[in-house]
Amino acid sequence: MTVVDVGPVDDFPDRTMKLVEANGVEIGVCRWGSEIFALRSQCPHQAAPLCHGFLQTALSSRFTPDGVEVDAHAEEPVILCPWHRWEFSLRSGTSFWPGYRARTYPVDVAGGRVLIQLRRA
Amino acid sequence: MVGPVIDACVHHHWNSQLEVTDRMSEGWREHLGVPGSLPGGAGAMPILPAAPYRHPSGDYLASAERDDHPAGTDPALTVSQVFGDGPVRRAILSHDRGMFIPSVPNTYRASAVAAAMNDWTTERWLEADDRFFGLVVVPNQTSDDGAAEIRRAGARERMVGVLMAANGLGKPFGHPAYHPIYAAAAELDLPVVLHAGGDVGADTLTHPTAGGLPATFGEISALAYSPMMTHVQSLIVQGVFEKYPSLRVFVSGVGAAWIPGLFFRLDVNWRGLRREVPWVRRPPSEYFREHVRVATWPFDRPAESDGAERVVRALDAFGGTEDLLCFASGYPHWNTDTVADIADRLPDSWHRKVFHDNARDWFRWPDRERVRPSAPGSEGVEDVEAVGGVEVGAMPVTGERDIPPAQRFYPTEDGREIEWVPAAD
Amino acid sequence: MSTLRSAYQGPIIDIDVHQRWRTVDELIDRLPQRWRDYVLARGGGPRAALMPAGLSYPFQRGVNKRLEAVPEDGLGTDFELMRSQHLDAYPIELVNLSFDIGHEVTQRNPVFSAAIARAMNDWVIETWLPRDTRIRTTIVVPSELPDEAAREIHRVGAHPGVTAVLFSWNAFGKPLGHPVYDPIYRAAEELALPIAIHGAAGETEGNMAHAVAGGIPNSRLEWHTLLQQPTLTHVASFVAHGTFEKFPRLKVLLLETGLAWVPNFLWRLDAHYRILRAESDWVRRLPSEYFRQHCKLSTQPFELTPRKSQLIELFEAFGGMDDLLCFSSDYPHWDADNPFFVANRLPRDWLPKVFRENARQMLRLTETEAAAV
Ligand code: FES
Repeated sequence: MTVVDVGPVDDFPDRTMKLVEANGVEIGVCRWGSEIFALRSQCPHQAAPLCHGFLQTALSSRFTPDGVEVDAHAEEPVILCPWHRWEFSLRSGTSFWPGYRARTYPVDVAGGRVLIQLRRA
Repeated sequence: MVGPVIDACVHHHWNSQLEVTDRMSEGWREHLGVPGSLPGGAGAMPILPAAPYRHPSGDYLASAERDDHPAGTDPALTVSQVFGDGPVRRAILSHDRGMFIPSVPNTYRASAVAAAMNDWTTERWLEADDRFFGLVVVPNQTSDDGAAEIRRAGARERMVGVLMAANGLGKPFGHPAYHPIYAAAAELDLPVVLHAGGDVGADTLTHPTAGGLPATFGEISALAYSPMMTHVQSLIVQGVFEKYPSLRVFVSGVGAAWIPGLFFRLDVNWRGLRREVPWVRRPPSEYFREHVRVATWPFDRPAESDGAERVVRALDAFGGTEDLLCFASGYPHWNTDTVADIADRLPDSWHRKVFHDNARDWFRWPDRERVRPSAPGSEGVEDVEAVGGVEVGAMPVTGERDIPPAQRFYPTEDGREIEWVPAAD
Repeated sequence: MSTLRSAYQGPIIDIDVHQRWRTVDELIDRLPQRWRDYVLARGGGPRAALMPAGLSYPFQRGVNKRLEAVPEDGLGTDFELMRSQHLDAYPIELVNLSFDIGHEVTQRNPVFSAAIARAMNDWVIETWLPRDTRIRTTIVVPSELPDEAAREIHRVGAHPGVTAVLFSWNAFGKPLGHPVYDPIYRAAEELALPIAIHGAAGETEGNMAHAVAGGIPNSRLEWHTLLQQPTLTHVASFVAHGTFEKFPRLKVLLLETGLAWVPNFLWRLDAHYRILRAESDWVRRLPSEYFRQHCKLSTQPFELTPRKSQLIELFEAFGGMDDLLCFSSDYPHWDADNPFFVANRLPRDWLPKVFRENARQMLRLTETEAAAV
């Protein structure tokens, strides 16, 4: 397992995607309140630089007895790919509809530094 | 040998429009007049819209005509030619050019004639043979009237669906202006039948083709599936099946080979553009598989000698198509399909479903258990209006404006500052 | 360099790449004085941006490009970005420019359209062609004045960097086989230039003809999905009006219409062969034969099926698709395709044809280029 130190927590403003490079791989790091997410900036669809896309919150919809209800999830950030605008969860890397998954990395904060585990997601 | 067959599209028509107009009120009868009361057959307003494109050698099978009866106008002849001693056990009467009457400019006349047509179908055709079933022609320029007509004529047992062909409002059929019709159809458990041709006539502001009006019948007929793709897609994307989750739709007159092309594209576009229509919760093809069935007629016929296999391969590329297709002859149109020919063209393993079971499950037959309109999670909702309050059409707040940078200004080409770059494709 | 591994390593001809002026002044400066005065002589209100008034299907946040392809200042397209993100990122041999739709010729005043077309053609030849030896371009024509359009083809069409005529404005709202447009086809054939139709031929801009059959859809999702519909009508029209009989060497390149519609469309046209023939003196062969001989399609937007094999199975049911496809990216638009992605979704033995050979048969290349192996 490779752990990469990508800088002090203070360098990561809330709800902003920041691009870092670790072992030659471009990674998007985003602090969302008290959580920090990291995902590889490569779209699983056509390999676009994923983290250059739109940062938004997840939008889901479900059936209820009263019809469809659309829910916005403030705690679930997604990135919309800069190319075809597919949506991927920062937390899990999963796309809005199953079939594609972006690579995510576990993030730790230790001693005020943001550490990314490169090996496994 | 094929087992029992349901023919999901047979066209029936009147010999004289008096068959229909005699079922109208005194005032309308007087207004419309009597054909033949003036020289040369004049004396009445024709109730049929004109056909702008005609097949160069006739729109109908010559064998379906008798001296005094144009094709499709004589119940007895239709009985002998559709049922005869063949395997067809039930046939759904789907009207002929009469199906375009709902888009005539006088919307009151359209509604009055549609009601008379529904009575005429019941009295002249359904009574002529037990194996005939009908579709309620719906006047769709004023969809509340349309819904009322569905509730009136659709209450009859042997009406097994609702017929929408004419594009009365000039909008794709998923437009909310049409939704009261779907509410009524769902309430009565009647599938909505979309039939080709409703955008061809001069009475609709829509065009039957994109890119201009073709010069010939051959072009317009080959492209007949263009508007149907628009309508099917519109029903799905505009949330009709979210609002009316028990609604079933049947597509007739455009063959089947268009299905893979449309959904291979629509599903992938939806992944990227879903926020525009957030109520579309699942890939569009899933709604299609659940809510839509398609007539085999006119079956696609590639010119190659192995054309039949090619079509089946194309349908197999989409997959599960044997659950979606229902045999239809299209009798007595020039391109009428026969049971024997379609049986030859489809794999044996599809026959039972396509010739019988799929249609058996789809239309509201008198002996079919009624499905109550409901949303999942709500057993047997009594009143369809109560299923209202739906979010289709509402745009939710997602909180993304709080995510920096929420706003950025760009200079435009002419030096102004605007918030967005002019979009085009 | 793209992070994808590709099944195809050979040279790529990309037949649909979009370029735009950084500011519209680049175009205005090339207009004749009379039209410069017209554009600049505004009292109040914004200066004319020359953008035609099209159907309103704005894109999310108004950006129709790949986000990283939007220049820092948001203006137009930037060659350096195109070079680093596209030309140098893949083994690109040639790209074929087709303007940012090229719909600025979609003006209500045909004389103005003609002046703009000349300015656009001069602009692309003077500014874009010299930038890189890999760049080739289409030219635009004012179709509402077919004879003037033919003159424009003769004026700039011989330039060695010009590969095709972009028919971007269906000015009469007629399917494109209509004989009113024949002067354009005659001139294109004379110069061995194919006609390129990009998505709709300006139906989205014009409201002369409808962009979609059956009514204007409510959403961009629907409109974009049906973008091929005008093209279907135009190809049927070329057959019915005998365009390929009148101009036997004319070629037609269908850009940005996707692919999965092809089998059903041509099967249906072929099934109407005898009817078409009865109605038209010109229909002497099966429509699909004309199509296979005269037309090719760009691969973008490449349809995506859950399993790779589904799309190929559909193509193989039709047969011969490997001879019809020419790779296109549509860079820098949002729905552009990565060439390596497309290569990985196609059968291997199709790749040299799709990525190079078919385009070389289609585009008008110079003799030296055409001779190159
Ligand atoms: S490359 Fe990311 S959505 Fe297509």
